[in-house]
Amino acid sequence: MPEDATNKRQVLDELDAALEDPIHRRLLQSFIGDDPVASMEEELKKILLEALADET
Amino acid sequence: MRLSSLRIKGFRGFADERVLDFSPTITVMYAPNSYGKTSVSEALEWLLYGTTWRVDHGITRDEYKGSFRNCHVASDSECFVEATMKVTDDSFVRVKRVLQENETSQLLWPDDPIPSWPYMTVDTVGAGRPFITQHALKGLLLSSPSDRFTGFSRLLGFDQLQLIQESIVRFCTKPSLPSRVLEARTQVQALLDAVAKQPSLSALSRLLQKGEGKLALSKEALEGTCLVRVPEGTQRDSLKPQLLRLRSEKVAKVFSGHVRIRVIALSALLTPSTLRERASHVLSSEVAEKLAAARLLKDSESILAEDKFLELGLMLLAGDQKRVCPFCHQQLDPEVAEQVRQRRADLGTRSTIMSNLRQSNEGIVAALGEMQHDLNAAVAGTTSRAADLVKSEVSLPLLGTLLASESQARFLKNITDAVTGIRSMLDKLNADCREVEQETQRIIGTVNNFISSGQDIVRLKQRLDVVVDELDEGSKLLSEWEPRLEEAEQMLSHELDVRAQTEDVSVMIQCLDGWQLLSRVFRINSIIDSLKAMKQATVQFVSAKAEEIVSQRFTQDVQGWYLRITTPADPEVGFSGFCLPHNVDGSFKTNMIQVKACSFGTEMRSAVSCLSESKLNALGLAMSISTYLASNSPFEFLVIDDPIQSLDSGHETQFIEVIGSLSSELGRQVILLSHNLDWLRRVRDRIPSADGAYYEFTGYTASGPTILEQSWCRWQQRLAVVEASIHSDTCTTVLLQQLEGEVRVIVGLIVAALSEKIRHQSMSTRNLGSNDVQKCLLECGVPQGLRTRIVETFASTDPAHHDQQGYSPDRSRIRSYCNWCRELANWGHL
Repeated sequence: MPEDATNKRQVLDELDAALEDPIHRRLLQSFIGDDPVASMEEELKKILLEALADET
Repeated sequence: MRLSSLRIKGFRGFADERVLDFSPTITVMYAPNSYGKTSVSEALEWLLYGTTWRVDHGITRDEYKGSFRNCHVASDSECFVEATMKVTDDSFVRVKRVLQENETSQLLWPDDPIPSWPYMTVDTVGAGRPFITQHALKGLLLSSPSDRFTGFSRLLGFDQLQLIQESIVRFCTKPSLPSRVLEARTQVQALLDAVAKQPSLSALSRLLQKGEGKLALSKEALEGTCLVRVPEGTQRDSLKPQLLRLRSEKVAKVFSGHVRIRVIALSALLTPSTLRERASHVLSSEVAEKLAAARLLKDSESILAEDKFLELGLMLLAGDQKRVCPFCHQQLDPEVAEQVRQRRADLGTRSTIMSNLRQSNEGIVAALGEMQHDLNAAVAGTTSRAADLVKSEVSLPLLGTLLASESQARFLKNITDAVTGIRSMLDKLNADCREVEQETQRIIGTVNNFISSGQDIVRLKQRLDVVVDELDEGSKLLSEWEPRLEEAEQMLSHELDVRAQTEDVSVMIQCLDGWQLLSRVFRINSIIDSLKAMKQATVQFVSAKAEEIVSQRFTQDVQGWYLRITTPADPEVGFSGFCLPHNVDGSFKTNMIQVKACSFGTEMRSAVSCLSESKLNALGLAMSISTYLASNSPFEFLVIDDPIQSLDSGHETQFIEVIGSLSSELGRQVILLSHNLDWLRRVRDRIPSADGAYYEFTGYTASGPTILEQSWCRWQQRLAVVEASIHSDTCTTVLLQQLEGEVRVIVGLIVAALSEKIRHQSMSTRNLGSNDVQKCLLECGVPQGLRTRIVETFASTDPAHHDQQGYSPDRSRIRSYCNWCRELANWGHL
């Protein structure tokens, strides 16, 4: 029915705009591919390892 | 796509093949209970989607297993549903779904397997299904608010939205962490636990529990606590050495032995495998051959001496014109000079070879030296890894007094065993290494003197391999002991701290040491904790989007159709909209949809619990129509199965208007199935202009239903229309032709009715010819005169006759036809 509700990319863009934390936005931007959860987990690993190495 | 015809065989209630043709407007099917009506709807659903709502939502899936195949059909018999769909005015597709083993099916177009329906795109696959069925209506309305949310998301197309939310919630709820991060968190947690155990560090512990936000204050508190324990005037960057000194002084008072027992982690640059590789290169058979060759030319010195002697002779020969020897004064033969030159040239060649061999030997000596150096370094590295432990041997008796409790016995045994085993290993390794070194030095001497046979190189290689093996074993032994000794060292350190009362000092040192890691782990924890906020933000975002769709646009649509089904006499009690419930704090409850209802302006608890069955039925119909119309379904037909259950006569009539609107206003093809014969008659009477198709299921056997096609309008109604039209002044020639054609249909309907009444035989009125009519009337006993007149109508009512030369429509002739029709009906008392 509602075209805006079924358009995945548009929904993600709108959600991205609603998120304030830059880390959350970075994670959301990795919501891609056939397995977006795995993709986000991969990005989270990168973020955490950067924090562990104090690269942030 | 509009449905043109449907062929069913072996599916559900249809054992034998049946074919149904569909009107482009409305097709009505009447069937008493259990006559296969719902099988038609399910056949179509299965053809479109490969499954049915009933099977998909069955609580016990096993009971539905195998239910697609008709029980009278053999398992190897064909079971299929085939539809011909009209795509455009002159384009049709014929698609067939064949049931296969294990409830799977294959779609064929027209005879080739295809993965999905033609003209279906990704967007249309999930679009609202063109079916309104009682069980689906109830399922949607009477489900829990959360199941309703899922159902609505699918129907209204925001399942993508829900999918995004589910994925993010799943990710945020239990994120997978890398092992390095987990290890760091474990280390920091151990440190925090250690701080929490020290009463003198309680203030620090409280601040640390608050995480990253209080990190700066925590650091202040730590340094403040440390400063109290160290000499006045100590700078903050000197805290750690001062604390270490403080601890050492206190520990020395209770224990004077050497207490470092851990082995150093493996970081040797030269691993045994590297050494082996290098030895293979330096001590190779090629090197041995070179040395043997060099030994054969050990007379290099004499070669050089002879060379110099011959050089001198040649110089003398060149300077003496008389060619007399300066030593013996004999006359020299010119040939002798040539022989000397030749001899010297040969020596020159041998000298070059010798020089090369010398260089080669120098290289071998250097390589042997480097190899020995590497071996010594590797052995020294291994020895130094365990140096502290070995030195602790002298302190073992003291350690025994420190680790005296039963629980500490294991640690003491570990230390003792490690000292014994590792010391023995190191002694042997060092002794063998020294032997190899001596042998290497000896071989270097022989190589320098060109007396090495090459065989000693082979023997050295064998001895060196033994030492490298020992080195390998020793390295493994140390690695095995490392964790156990580290544990023992911690226990020992703790015990020393307890006795020296320096536990808090040790924890302070650990804090100073681990502060960088602690601050990074706190940052990591903050990131992980913040995922809860991300989850919450996502849920609120999705809920807000869903509410926008459900409570505004969808509510308006549903309310529009709902009001069309209501009657003026209905009380002001009914559906008032959809909403997503909120928590007390104003946030949305996760994934719930409520159906609201009002009674004379007062909001009720819930439509589901407060409205009557008939109202809920009307609401379900309105919801199904709204979702279907709003969807991007490629199917322009709507199958409505038994829609008027629990509706009274007034609401039944209202719903007929809804069907009319769907057909005429919205141009949808409607397929209506019901067991209510009277209501279906009213449908046809109230929407005569649809001129749809009408089927009656008049019987049911094991082979399937008996299906008769009947006229959309009854003959009386059609005849009345024709009679009224020919009396009209505005009746044109074209209309007269159409009326004449209509008479032919009316004759067919009356003859079919007579056949059923007198012969008890049903007759299809489709393609009825004059011979069929003649035969039927004869068998029914219709008088000859009347029979002849009725058959005569076929002379001009067939549209084919209208093209013949000399044909023209005639009002009086049509009037006569109408009279004959009435005469035949009166004769048969129809």
